[in-house]
Amino acid sequence: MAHTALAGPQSKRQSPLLSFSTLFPYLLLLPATLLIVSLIVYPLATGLFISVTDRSLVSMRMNIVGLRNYIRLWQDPVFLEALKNSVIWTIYTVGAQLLIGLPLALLLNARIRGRGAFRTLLLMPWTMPTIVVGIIFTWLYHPVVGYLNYVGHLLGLPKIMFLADVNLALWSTGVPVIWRGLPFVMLLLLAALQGIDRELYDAAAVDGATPWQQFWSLTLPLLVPTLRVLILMEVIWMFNLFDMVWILTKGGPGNATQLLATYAYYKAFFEFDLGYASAIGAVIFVLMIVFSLLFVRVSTRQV
Amino acid sequence: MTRRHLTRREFLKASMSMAALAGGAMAIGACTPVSPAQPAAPAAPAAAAPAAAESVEIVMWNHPTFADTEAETKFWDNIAQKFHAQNPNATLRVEWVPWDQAFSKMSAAVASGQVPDFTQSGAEQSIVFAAQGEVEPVNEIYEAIGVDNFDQLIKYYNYQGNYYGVPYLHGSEIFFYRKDLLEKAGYAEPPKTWEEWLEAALKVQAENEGVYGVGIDWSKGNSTQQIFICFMWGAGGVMLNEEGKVAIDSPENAQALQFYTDLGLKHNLLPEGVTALSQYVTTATPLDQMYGNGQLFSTIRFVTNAQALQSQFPEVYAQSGFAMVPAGPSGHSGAFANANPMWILKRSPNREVVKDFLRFYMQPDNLRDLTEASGWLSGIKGITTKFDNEEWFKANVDMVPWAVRVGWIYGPHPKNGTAEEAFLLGQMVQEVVVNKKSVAESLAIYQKKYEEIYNA
Repeated sequence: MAHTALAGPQSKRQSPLLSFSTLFPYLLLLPATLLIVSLIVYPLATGLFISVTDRSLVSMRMNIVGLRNYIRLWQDPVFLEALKNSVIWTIYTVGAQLLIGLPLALLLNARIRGRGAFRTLLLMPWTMPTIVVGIIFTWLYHPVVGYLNYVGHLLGLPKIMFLADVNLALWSTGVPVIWRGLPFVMLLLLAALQGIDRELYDAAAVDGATPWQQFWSLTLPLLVPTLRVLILMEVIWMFNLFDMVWILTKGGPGNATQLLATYAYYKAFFEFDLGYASAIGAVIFVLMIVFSLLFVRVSTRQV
Repeated sequence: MTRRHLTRREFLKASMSMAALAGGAMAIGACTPVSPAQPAAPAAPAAAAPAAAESVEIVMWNHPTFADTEAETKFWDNIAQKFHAQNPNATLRVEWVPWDQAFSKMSAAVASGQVPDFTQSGAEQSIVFAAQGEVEPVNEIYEAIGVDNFDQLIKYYNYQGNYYGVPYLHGSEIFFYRKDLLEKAGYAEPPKTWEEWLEAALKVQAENEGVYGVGIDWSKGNSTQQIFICFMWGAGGVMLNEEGKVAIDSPENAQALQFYTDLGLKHNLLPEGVTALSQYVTTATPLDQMYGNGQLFSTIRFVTNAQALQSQFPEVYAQSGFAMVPAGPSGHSGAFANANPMWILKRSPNREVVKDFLRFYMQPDNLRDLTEASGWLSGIKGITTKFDNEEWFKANVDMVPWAVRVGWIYGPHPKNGTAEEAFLLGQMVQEVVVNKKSVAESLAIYQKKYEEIYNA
C-alpha cells in the first residue's frame, strides 16, 4: 500500500537536523523567503548601510562616515520642518478620510434608492491615476485660469492662492489626496458594516435605543477591528506619501508642503546626496515601526 | 478502493525534473543578448539594408530643447536620414529623455556601464562626467573647424585643456516686451537699465488693467534660477570667483536679490501665485502663456520662446519687441546661456562613428536647419538664416557675450552640474519672499549650501 512517508522508521536513523521531514517544510518556504529577502530585506539593509556613508549619485564615492548623516538631520531646519509637516499632514489626511468616509459608509449601508449607483460614483476617484488627479487639481487651483478662483470671482470673493500661500498650501494639497483615498476607506468600512447582524439593531430599537445610541454603543464598537487595521494602514501610507505632493508643489512654496518623503527624494535626485537621503528614509522606517508597534499594543489592549 | 497517495520519492523525482526544466529555460534566457536600452521613437529610416557585417547604430539620449517639440522631432528625423544617406553603414537612433531625468539617468547609466553612445545636455553635466574620465575629448573636431569660428560659449566645454563636447545649440535669454503698451505709456525705446525697466513697468501696469508689469518666476525650480541669474550677472555678481571659491554672499548678489524680490514685495508688479508658478523642470510655460494671453508687459524668456510666441500667439507677437535684458548696476546686461554640447561617452564602442556624426552635424546646412527649426544659435559664427533680421534673433546674438552658465567667470568646474541641479537659487529667492528672511540672511544660508556642494 502506497503511503506518504513524512516520518518513518528511516528517520529514526538520521540526525533530526538533516532529515528530509525536518527540511521539507523549509524547502517549501524557500521561494517565498527568497522573494521577501530580495525585494524587502536586501534593499532595506542596503539603504541602512548607505545611510552611514557619503554616497553620491554622481561620483563613485562611498566612504563610511558613521552617524554623520543622522547628526546632520537633527541640525537641518528643513528636515525638522518636513518632520513637523509630515505629522500634521498625516493627522489631517487620515482624520479627514475617516471623518468623511464613515458617514458615507453608513449612508451607503442604508436601504436607499439608487444605492448601487451612489456606490459606483463614490468609488470613481479611486480608479483615477494619481497624476491625472494631480494635474486636475493643479489647474483647479490655478490663481489666474483656475476654475475655483473663477467661481470665487463670480461670487465676489477675493482670489485664493491655494498652492502659493504658505498658510494654505498644505491643506490644499491634502484635498486631492483625501478625495482620492476616501473610496478605499468607505469600502472597507462598508464591508465591515455589512457584516454586522441587523438583528442587533432590531433588538436595540426594541430596547428604545436612539439612532445615535445605536451608532455609539453598537456600530462603533463592532467597527473597531476594521478601524484598527484601517488607521494603521492609512497612517503608514499618508506618512510616506510622495506622489501627490510632488506633482502639486514639490514641497513648496518655501518648505510649506515639504514632507519627509519629498525631502528625501530631493536630496537623492537633485542634490545627489544618497547617504543623507537614505538617512531620512531610515528615520521614516524607524518612526513607522515604532508607531505600528505602539498602536497595535495600545489598540489591542483588553479594557 | 484505496486512494493512491503520491510517495515522497515520486514527489522528489517530479520536483527535480521541473527544477531541471526551469533551470534550463533560465540558462537559455541568460544566453540571449538583451539590448541595454529600450528604444523610444526610432529616428533612423528603415529603407536601405546596411552592409551586414559593418553597419553600426549609434544611440543618442536627447532632451527636448525646442519650444516646439514637433519641430524638434522632425529636425532630428531629418538629420538622421541625411546622416545615413551620407554614411550608409551608420544609423542614428534618438531616444528622448525628459530633462528632469537627464542627470540622474545618466549618473545611473555611467554607474552601471549601460551608457548611450552620446548625448546632449547642459555644459555642466558633461564636465561632471569628464572629470570622472567618462567623456571622450573632441579636440580634433575643433582643430578641423577652427576654434575662432565658434562663439565664446565653447569655453564651458573646455576642461583642463580639452574640449569635451561640440555645440548642439547655443542661445540666451532675452527681454520680451509689449511695444504697443510701451508706446502708449510714452516711451519710444525699450528700457536699457533696471531703473528704466521699473519705471516703465509701473506706468504700464497703472495704465492697463489686467496687465502685470513684470513676468518673472519665484518658484523653487530651474525657471527661477535661470531668470535670477540674469539679475545676478547684471549686478556684477557671480557664483564662483576667479579662484573657484563660492561667492554667493556678495554686495552685488545682495543688490540683485533685493531688486528681484522688490519687484513683487515692494512694487507689486508680479502676477499672483508666482511662488508656485513652475516647478523643477524648465517648463515656465505659465509665463509664456501669460505673456501670450496679454497679461504681461514684459518678461525674460529664451529665444526659442519667441519663435513659439510667433506661432502660438501671433497677435501678441506682432505687438511685441525683443531686446537685450536691461543692464544692472554693473553697467552690463546679464543672462543665462543655453550652451548645450553633444558629448561622447568614453565607454561607447562607436566613438569614431559618433565623431563622424558630429562632423556631419557641424555642416553649415544642418546648422542653418537647426536655427530655422528652433531659433537657437548653432555655436558657429557666420551661419546665415532666414531669421537674421528678426529682432529677437538679433537680441539673442547681442546677448551671447553677456550670457553665462553656472560657474560664470571661473568656468567649468566638476561640481557645477550638482550645483545647477540642486536649484538653490530658486530656494534662495523663496527664503526672502516666502520665509520672510532678509536678503542678507538668505545669501548667508545659500553661501553655506553652495560651499557644502563645492567642498563635498
